[in-house]
Amino acid sequence: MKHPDEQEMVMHVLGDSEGAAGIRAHLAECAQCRAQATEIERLLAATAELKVPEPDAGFEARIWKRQRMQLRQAASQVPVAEPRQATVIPFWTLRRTAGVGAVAAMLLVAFMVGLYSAPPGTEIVLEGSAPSGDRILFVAVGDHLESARMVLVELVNAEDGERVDISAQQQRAQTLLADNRLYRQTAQLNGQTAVADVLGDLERVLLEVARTSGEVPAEELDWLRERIASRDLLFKVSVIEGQTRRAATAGAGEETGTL
Amino acid sequence: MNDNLPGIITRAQAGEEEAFRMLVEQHSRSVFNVAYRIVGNSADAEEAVQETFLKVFRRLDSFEERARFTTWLYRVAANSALDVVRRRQRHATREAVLEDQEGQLLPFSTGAPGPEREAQGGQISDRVSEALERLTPGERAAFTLRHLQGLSIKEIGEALDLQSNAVKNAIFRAVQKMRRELEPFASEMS
Repeated sequence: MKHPDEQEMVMHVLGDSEGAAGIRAHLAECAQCRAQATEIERLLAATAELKVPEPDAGFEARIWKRQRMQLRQAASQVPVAEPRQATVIPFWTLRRTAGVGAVAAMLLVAFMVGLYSAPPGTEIVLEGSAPSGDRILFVAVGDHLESARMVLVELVNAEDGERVDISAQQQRAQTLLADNRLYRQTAQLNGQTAVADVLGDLERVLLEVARTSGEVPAEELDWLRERIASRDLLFKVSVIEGQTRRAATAGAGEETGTL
Repeated sequence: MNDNLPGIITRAQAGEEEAFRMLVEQHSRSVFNVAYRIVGNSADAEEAVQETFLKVFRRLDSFEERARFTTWLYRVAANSALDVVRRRQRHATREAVLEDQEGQLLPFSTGAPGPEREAQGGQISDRVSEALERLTPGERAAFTLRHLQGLSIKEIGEALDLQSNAVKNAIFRAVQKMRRELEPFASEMS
């Protein structure tokens, strides 16, 4: 048998060769091809040994919390012809509607955009109270924005030094990124550019913070601060957070609310 | 923990929330592992995990008992990870355009080694990591699913919507590129 070409050899080492017996027989006789096979095996072993960072201890709970929020919200979107008869969650019927995407974020963003993009001084009247599921969402997103805002505030007010420890903010930024992306992507999908831009700016800062090693030189911290200041990020996040909080409150206790 | 996996799947298919929670919590780390090897960072990997389980929830009806759940799950995970990579690339392109226009927005990725990779340490593993990062997302996904997750060529083809020959080519290109790149270090990989 002639020497197997490189592709045949790679597929053989991976166990996908169509002429395995022939190649095995050839390898038994050909030192050159044996060396090539060994080199490929070592490369594959090296890739298998690469470590993947272990997610933090709260990872599973966080993933489930977000899943649950999205799926529950999808439930509230199912047209219901008759009152639900039991408290059992109708997951079976939900499965067909979850394809709509991140319904939770969609609802929220659609609502927020109405608030945020309104011209200054415009009063927006809530027509009736928000459904309880939406209120939970407003609270959740209000919490998210508050946490993100606190990260920004802490960065802006961090004590100066040659190197500054921002590991606490870095860890929180990592945790906040996924939710923020969800809201930003949903805003983009809905063409809500004002909110998407703010969330995009926020995401970029969170991403940069998440990527730091936890202790940054003064110049890097200054650069992050400039980034926050140049986009008026603190102010914009505070505005959306405040409106979201008021929406949650209005939905909870008032028939009609004015923002 | 997975002893009663078929039972859990059946209960989840019947609409039981607790069963779906168990699926999410039992498998989210392994899905993260697959996704990380394709997207290359924790934040995007976590986003891919989230999308994976949303898709799993939607498609659970179509899962057949005779199939291996983890194989099916990893296929969905690879697809979700590739979706995240594609979105990231689209976003990066948009960022670059905006940066040109406004001169004030930052590119999404600096291309510099992130803290995670720096933390991995070790020169050879760094080189291998870098070589993997330079593969196309499709090559990385095909290679990861075959070599690290043990999916068959056919299963990878179904996951990535590719013919078997295209899958084999993608895997071969991945190995070939890494061999070329790591050639100077071959003697150290023993």
